[in-house]
Amino acid sequence: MAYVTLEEGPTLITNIVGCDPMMIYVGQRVRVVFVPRGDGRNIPMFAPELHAEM
Amino acid sequence: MNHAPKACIVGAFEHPTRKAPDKTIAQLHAEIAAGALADAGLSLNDVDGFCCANEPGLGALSMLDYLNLRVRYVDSTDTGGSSYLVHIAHAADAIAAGRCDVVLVSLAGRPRSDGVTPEFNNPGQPDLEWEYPFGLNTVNGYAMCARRHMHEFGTSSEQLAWIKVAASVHAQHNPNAMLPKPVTVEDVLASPMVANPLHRLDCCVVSDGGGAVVVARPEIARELKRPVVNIIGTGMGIKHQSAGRIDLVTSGAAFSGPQAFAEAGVKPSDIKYASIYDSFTITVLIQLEDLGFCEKGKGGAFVADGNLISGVGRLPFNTDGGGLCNNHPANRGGMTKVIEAVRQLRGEAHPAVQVANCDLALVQGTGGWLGTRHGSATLILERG
Repeated sequence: MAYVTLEEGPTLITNIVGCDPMMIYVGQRVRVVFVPRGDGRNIPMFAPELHAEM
Repeated sequence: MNHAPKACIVGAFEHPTRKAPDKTIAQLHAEIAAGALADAGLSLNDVDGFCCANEPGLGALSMLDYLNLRVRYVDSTDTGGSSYLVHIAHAADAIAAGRCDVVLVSLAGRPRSDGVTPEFNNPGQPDLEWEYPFGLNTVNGYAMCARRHMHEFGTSSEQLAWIKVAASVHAQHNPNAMLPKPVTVEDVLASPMVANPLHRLDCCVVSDGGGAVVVARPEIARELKRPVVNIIGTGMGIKHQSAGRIDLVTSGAAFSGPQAFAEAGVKPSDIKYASIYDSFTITVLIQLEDLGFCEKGKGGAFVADGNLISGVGRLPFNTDGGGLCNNHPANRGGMTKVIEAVRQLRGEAHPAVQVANCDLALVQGTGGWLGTRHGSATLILERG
């Protein structure tokens, strides 16, 4: 569970996926992934960006 | 303390039960009403106003029918756990406006017996699509606030744990407390992680029960035999996501607190005892900052080393053990916060936790979710 602030401005509640939860930290750069939720719709979640500190 | 109070608290009663599988919510309200009115020295026939929130059936109407109360003032404002502070503030205004004389404010619930976790998945909710699919719930929402506070200000789990330690030191003197055993900082940190960084012992209990207070016109209060508690300051505020400008480290107490202090004409350093809503340890810390007991970001240092323990620290808090150790009836902790403040101002808290010369107290309630949207209410109460 996390709040993610988009480069475009808005902040949204979402989940961080695709990594060990213990490795997540505040301020980390993440990239959107659209995850199927089982009813034919996809919802936006976020995964850590590789080479995040570039 | 610059003018006469609009109204006074003349009766208070906390139901001793913590698990009531054999009683209905209405029955609990009846027992609570009887207890609060007996404490005040009043009868059902004296009551001309009634407040409750979120009750079964037709809410306040069902409870008024069940209790056979004939009232001319009713309020069922629902701002979660802070509702009962709002009811008291509204009741004081209604009494001052001449709409009623004696208002019964009541809370009852049995989430421990019912085992029901509220489901926030009504299709009519504007936030549903944006939060529900991600599994937002009470604990992980507050955990985000705690993590953000740690990130911005360097607050530690050890500092948060001191809040639980203080509550537990108080709870050992309360025979009704669910968790009466004192705990250490190490005990809190060793308890299972529920939602990182919140451990099990950072969380409040779940309990059945409830409580009530009776609010009355000052002229009536003076004729009764019990010590009078004056309502001298009230404030309300709602904190939400401000259209995407999320601030996880500030609570609605930043809005409700200044209103209450201004009306009362007092400042945080005047307060002898504080009841602070304690759904989680982080809830207490953020509200203490927002109320001005310490600077924003310094809450961790403020609560550490027993500063909230009666007889030890600068600001005794939740001397009944609070929601963290005593009870949290109906998952709404506002009422019990008021009741312990009334005990302190009457000099009727347990002798081991009674604050010396306690003539001014603050009650802070929140309701809803700190990380998204919540109501806040602050009361400042004075020994009459």
